[in-house]
Amino acid sequence: MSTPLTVAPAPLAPSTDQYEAETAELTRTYASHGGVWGWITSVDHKSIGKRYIATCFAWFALAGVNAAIMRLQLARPESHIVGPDRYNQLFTVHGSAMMFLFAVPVMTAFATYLIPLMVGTREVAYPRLNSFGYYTFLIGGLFLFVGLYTNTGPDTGWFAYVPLSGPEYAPGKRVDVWAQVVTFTEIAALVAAVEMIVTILKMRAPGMSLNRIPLYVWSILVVSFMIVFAMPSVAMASTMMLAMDRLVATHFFNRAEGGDPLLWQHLFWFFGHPEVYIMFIPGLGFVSSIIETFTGRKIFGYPVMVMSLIVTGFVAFGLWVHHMFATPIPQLGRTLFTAASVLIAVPTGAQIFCWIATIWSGRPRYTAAMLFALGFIVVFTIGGMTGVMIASVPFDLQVHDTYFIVAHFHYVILGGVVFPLFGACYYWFPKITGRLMSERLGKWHFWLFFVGVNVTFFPMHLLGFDGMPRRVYTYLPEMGWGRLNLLATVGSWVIAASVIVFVVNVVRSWTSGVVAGPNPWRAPGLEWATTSPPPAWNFHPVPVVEGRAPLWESGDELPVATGLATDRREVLITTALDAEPDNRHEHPGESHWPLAMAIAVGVTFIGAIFTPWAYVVGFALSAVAFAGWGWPRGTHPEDELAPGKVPDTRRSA
Amino acid sequence: MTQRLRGVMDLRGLPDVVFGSRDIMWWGTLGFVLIEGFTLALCAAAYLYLTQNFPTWPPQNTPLPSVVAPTVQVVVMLVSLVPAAWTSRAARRYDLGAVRIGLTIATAFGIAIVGLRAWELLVSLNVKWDANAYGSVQWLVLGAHATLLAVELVEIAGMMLIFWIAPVEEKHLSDVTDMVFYWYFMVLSWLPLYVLCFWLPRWL
Repeated sequence: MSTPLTVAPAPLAPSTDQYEAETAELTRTYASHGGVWGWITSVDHKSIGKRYIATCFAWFALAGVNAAIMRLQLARPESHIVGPDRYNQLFTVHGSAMMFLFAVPVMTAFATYLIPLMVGTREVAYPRLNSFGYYTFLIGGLFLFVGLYTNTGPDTGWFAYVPLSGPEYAPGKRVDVWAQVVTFTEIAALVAAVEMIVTILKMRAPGMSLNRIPLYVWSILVVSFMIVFAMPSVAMASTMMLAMDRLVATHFFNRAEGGDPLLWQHLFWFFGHPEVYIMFIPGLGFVSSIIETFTGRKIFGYPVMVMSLIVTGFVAFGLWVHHMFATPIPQLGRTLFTAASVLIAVPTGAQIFCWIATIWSGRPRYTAAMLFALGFIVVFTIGGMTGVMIASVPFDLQVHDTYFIVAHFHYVILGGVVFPLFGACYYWFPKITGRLMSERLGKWHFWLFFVGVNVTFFPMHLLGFDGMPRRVYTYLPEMGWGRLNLLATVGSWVIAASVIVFVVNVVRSWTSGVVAGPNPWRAPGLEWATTSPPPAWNFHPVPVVEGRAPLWESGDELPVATGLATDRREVLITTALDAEPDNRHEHPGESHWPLAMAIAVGVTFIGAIFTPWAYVVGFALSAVAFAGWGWPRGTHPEDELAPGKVPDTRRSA
Repeated sequence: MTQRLRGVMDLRGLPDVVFGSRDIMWWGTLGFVLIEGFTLALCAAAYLYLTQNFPTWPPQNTPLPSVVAPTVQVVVMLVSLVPAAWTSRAARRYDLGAVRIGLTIATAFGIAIVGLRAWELLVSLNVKWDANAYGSVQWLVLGAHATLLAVELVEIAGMMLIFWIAPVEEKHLSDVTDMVFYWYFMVLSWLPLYVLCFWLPRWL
């Protein structure tokens, strides 16, 4: 591998010969098994991050096919391309896949790739756990789509309201598939959240104190804490309550035996509303990174931006009841949750003004990535404004369960998630692949997508006002909804065309794009201080941070810290607040046990659809995988414990 | 872009065996404590929510749970904290022999506690999960905590085996202290749930 850095004869910096010898040793230390086995056993966050991203986009494409079929169905009244039963499966799997398999995990996927690079470390905190999380997610996604394609697709909506999803009204296994897919994806999200929290708090480059970390890293930190407190709610409700009501006749939601259907709604939305912010807060981080680089100046109002992210994270947990305004909840509760729902617009608004101020006072370069960031501001703001409208109880009751709601949340999700995500693809593609994407195709992609999104979803506001309900598989000509529906369907074709342009661009650029070099955008973040693509160990030596925009401030000389081992997978652990060097930690190598554990978990939860004994079998299998995972191998004789051995106090603390 | 390197610090002198919050494994343990603790709190919230649906708790014709075995279990759990703390201190002073003994004692405690939990579920509760929502949520709270106990028992027993028969490194001593930290969570998180499941039905 070529060496990107020339070595200065400065004190403490390695000489050129020493640097090359250490690099050769790192190559041996981080060598993978190679081939398919190497791919399976890899614990490299970049390898896992790439496959995570690709897997999420695959689910996005499949869920998008569902959407395209639904739009064809609704293009004209009394259409019979699909029947009501199939239509129910299509919209349920579309929503479930977009939420559980795309919008949230694709942010995890990007974070898995980017966060260690952005904080200047060699790996994520727990590489094997990272691998396990990916495989669990993969099994969950496969399970959902295999269910759909075998006519066992969930069909009670992405929030699976009881009693519709309970044993009485939803016999068969369709809802069980949904409940266990949720379990798989929540396990994956939770382990990734712990990974990210520890990586960000304890593995930052020396000098990267909390007030210097990039806004994208802040966004992932906030979201990871949100996941820790949001996901247990739905995992518990689906796996331990809904699935049990269906499997072993518990009565959590059975009114006749003292259960409560509204308990499901509370538990679901206690997760479901923060989920919205979990999806788009990383998008805010993407936009901050992109705008900072392409305006050539630091983000205006960094402390306000950070506080806004944190406040959004907190307030997001105080909104869930606004999804339940049509249920019999106390008046005071409605008032409180209306106020909170309006309040949350404030921190997001503050960020939008900071971005505008940054663009205003910078020198914007209108690349494809920048266009997507600007598109985000427009589309997301429209979605946010309709959100403020439906925070009002009387208005909400009028448009509840109509296409107005469909329009609102597609503006929020496409604006807040997909626009920044496409921007991020253009921005970090050269880091991941070493090659630039085509800007010309990128701009085609942007304009087609921008027009397509608005043509598809803006008419849905009007359809909602006209009273068109959600989740109907067809409608009568007399309702007068035909023209706007046809327009929305034409818009969906434009979106499909834009995605095809994107795929063509990715494939062409990956194989024959312009070679990027380490920092093609002249960006300030640490991820641009290493090669494109980075080596398995990311950095050697470890970078040291002296400001909030390290590469802009370091000039021609990158400050580094030497002395991290090259004969083992060692990482630097720093203090949580000021990122002062504290200790060295050896990371584990490649392993197939995370996959074995994921399979054990898969057997458990898929088997549990049919019999509760699957939990017993699965526990035993998991215990075996756990033992294989944790059993010490490849220990270093000099580090081994023995009775009476005196510890090396130089190396321990 | 080509940048020259400017060495500003040397990391060779840093320790590679640390304990407590200096170790990233402790942070991972804390992460799972937060997740699992919040899950248990949600179980308790669901429990309290469902009490509103009944004029009496437990419902009519459903017997009260027995408190004998659960109280014995609480006492055993509290006693187990003593050898747990002793094992943690032994690990911090690199006393391999004491750590082996401590892990063996911890495994014995774990087996006893999981056994008592099984007894609580099958005998002390006096209700099955499918009797009514009361029975369901009693099983939910006890079952959720029991699952964590069972997983922890596997970890403790596995660690004991590793320390007796596998080549272990100094850094594994830090893992022992993290495991003890998690055990504190297991015990302390049970105390309010014990009151909720076995005493609240007597008071409501």
